[in-house]
Amino acid sequence: MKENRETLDITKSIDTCGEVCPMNMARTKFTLKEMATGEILEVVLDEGEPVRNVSRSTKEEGHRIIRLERFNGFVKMLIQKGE
Amino acid sequence: MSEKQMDYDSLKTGGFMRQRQKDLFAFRLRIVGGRVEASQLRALADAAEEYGDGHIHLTTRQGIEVPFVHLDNVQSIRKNLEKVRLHKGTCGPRIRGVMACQGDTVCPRGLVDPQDIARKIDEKYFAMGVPHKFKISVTGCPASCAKPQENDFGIIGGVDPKWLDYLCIGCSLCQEICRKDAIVVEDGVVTFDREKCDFCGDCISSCPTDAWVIDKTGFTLLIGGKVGRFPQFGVNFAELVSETELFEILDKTIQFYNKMALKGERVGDTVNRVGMETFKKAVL
Repeated sequence: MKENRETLDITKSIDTCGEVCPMNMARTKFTLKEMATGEILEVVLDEGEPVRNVSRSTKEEGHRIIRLERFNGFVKMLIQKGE
Repeated sequence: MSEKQMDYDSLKTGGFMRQRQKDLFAFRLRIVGGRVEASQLRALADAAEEYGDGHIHLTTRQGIEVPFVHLDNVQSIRKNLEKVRLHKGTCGPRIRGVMACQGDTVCPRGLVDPQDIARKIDEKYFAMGVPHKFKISVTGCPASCAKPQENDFGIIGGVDPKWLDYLCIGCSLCQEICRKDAIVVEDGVVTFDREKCDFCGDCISSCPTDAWVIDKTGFTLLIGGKVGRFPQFGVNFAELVSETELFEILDKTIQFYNKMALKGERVGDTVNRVGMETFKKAVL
């Protein structure tokens, strides 16, 4: 990791494990909508397809994924809200 | 209409499919990539009521047929639908209607414009006579929604990814999302195994810092796919060729098929019989 993980302040956290497309993507999108630019959202996702869908749509909507932590069967994704 | 007056031109190149009911035909249309304009659909609805029994059949290959057209109305329905640029389709030993997904014109995953490729193929080859049926499908990415593997000649859009180390933050998202296990991230350094890559572009579209970029866009080609009684998937024989190369290879493939096929043989069986290497030598 090139970024210092200690400096990251998580504003909000959601757990989408067990949810299927498009709900994980939709919950991430709507949670980000209510946050301010620069704030950080932590999303817990099942591994595989949800990670693909959420990362693609997050990027398209102008937010930035700043870290990914992988666990057994799920991932934690940190997203910084864009403009 | 007597047999002498019958519209032989309409019947001989296919497109009017004989029904089990006497003197009734299903009128098949020339549809490319499943695209139909709303105004054409209105005209089709009217034609189905005027010349058919009021219903329309959607074929398994994105085609449209108006069933229950009487022999006497064959010419009328044809002329009527030509006014909205809906032309007669084909059947029999010919190059069939070209299938395509929407690709990058609509789909977030699409890497190329398969509709454009399908239109160009249709313009050049539609209904051309060959030893047996010859089906072509163009799909916008390796997800293969337009089922190129089930077609005699399959085309799959793809991108060759390239990693830029100075933009990478080492988040390892690309490793997580790659379905082919072609990417490994260790201590912020990416190792990419191109042999495993299927050119889907997921690493490029998901990378948060655009450290994965498109090195080349092209088409992967499959030969010999078919369903029916003796189904087999098409076999990948060329990777990421350009559009110009694609048309050269398709041209040579049709020449190869006309020259090498036994009577009534699908191209997949021809390739099975003479060998993939012989085929590749002829077309690449």
